Amino acid sequence: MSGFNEKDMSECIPNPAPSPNHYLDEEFWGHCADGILCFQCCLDCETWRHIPRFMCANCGSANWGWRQSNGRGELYTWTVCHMPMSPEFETVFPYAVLVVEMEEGVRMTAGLKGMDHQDLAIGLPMEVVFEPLKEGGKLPFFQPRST
Amino acid sequence: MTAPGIDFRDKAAIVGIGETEYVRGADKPSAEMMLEATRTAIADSGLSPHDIDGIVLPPVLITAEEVAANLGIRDIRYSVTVNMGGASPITALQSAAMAIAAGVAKNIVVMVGWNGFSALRPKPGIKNREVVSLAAMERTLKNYYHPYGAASPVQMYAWIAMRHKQTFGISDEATAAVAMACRKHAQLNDRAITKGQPMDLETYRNSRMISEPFRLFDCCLETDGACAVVISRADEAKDLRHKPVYIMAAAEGHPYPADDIANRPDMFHIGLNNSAPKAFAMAGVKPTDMDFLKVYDCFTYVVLLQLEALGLCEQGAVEEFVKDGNIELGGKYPLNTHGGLLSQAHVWGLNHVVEATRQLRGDAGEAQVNDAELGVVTGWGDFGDGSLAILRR
Repeated sequence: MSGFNEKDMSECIPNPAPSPNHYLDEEFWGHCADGILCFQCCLDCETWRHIPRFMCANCGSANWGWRQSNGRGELYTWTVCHMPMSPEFETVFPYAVLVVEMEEGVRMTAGLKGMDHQDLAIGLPMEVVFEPLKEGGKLPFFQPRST
Repeated sequence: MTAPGIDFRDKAAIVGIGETEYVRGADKPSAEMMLEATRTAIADSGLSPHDIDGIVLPPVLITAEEVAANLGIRDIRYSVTVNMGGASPITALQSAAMAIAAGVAKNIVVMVGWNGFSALRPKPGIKNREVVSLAAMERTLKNYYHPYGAASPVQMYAWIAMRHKQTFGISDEATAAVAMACRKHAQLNDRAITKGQPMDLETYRNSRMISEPFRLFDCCLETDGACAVVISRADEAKDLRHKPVYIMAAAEGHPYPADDIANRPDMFHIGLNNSAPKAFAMAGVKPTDMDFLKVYDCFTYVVLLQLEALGLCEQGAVEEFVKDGNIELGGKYPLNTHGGLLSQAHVWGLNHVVEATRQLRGDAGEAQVNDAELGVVTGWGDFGDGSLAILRR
């Protein structure tokens, strides 16, 4: 993945890197690696979508482009994992996995930064931050926002 | 609500059931256990292996070709593999009933088996790890869930459960009612892993958190074993060994989008919301007519979601529905009288079909529901796929 700045590995999160199936996944994560959150948007009916798809489920169009998200959303739901199910998380649990509803209308899964998971609540205003991965690239996380 | 175009009501019946022992530490390949259960099911039906002409499989560790070669079936007339995770066995009933109604095949086996304890998750001492196909969900998992440490169903179903719990103010008493009912019923079942291990409410409440809101005893067992059923033409089933258990209706349902939980317009609209109205319409009965419920219970909260989707209560009213012993033997809707995945064994819910068949034959022993005539079995799998079958004696 491009755009990854060399950093002290101790600043990297232990999460496994995404494993793209094809160029749609590669492009989504490529933008993240550059610290930009983009979603697909239909060029015909202007419907935003995520996870990336080849067609617009609203109008059937195959014309789409990447558009930058404003990075703002609200907490839709979450879980707090107290028992890691993958080896990368054995030293960092408990950890939260969020579903955030973006202002553009799409929802995304993400990790939590900047607050205690015990204070999570539906509708909490959040904003995206990027965390560097050991294997390169960045993952979007969400932290509470005040405005 | 639309009735399906082709009606296969009462055209097929469950005529044979078979199970291996359910254990933790089987030391046998899944395929061998499935064939053992299948042999038992065929013998139970009174048919011979050469009478089988159809094979419908969940994505388990055996192929229709292997099954046919072991049973000596020289002409498989119908074979299909259903990719709906834990909903596959019930969808398999639908597929079998359709094939039989269409005259494509006469006697179809459905089987499930795995080393869910011994070879599923990486554990010390596991020799041959068995990998279950996640075909329908794999892209989403490895790109969008795994990087955040959401790697297991308990973590992903938790998103639906957490929002439902918060939205409708469901308390832990509701999930406790499901866990306790299954454990209580398992005490009556010699084939249940937890027989002899009754559970009190304090033990449930104090169990450790796995992935909020799921505690340890909200999660089903990990077990090794297999079970199988034989489905035959209804008009020929009457001459076999047991009283036939008729498939009145069956339907499959998928949430939308099925391959991503996060982006569902309504996260509470699960596969069963789509399939249940179709099946009840085909059967011509109401959810409240059921003498028992066999609901896929990989996790307690998943049962709550399905009780609502079946139409047994309004959305958000499930806590009221499950309380005061309503889902226990002696109550109005006895749930998972064998103990379910939570307290009997995890055999992808085909063990629910086996138990439903016993109930409708009147062979359920101490767990027999008085004069059971009609019952529903559900399946839940992948990211919330939901199938159901409505069975009658």
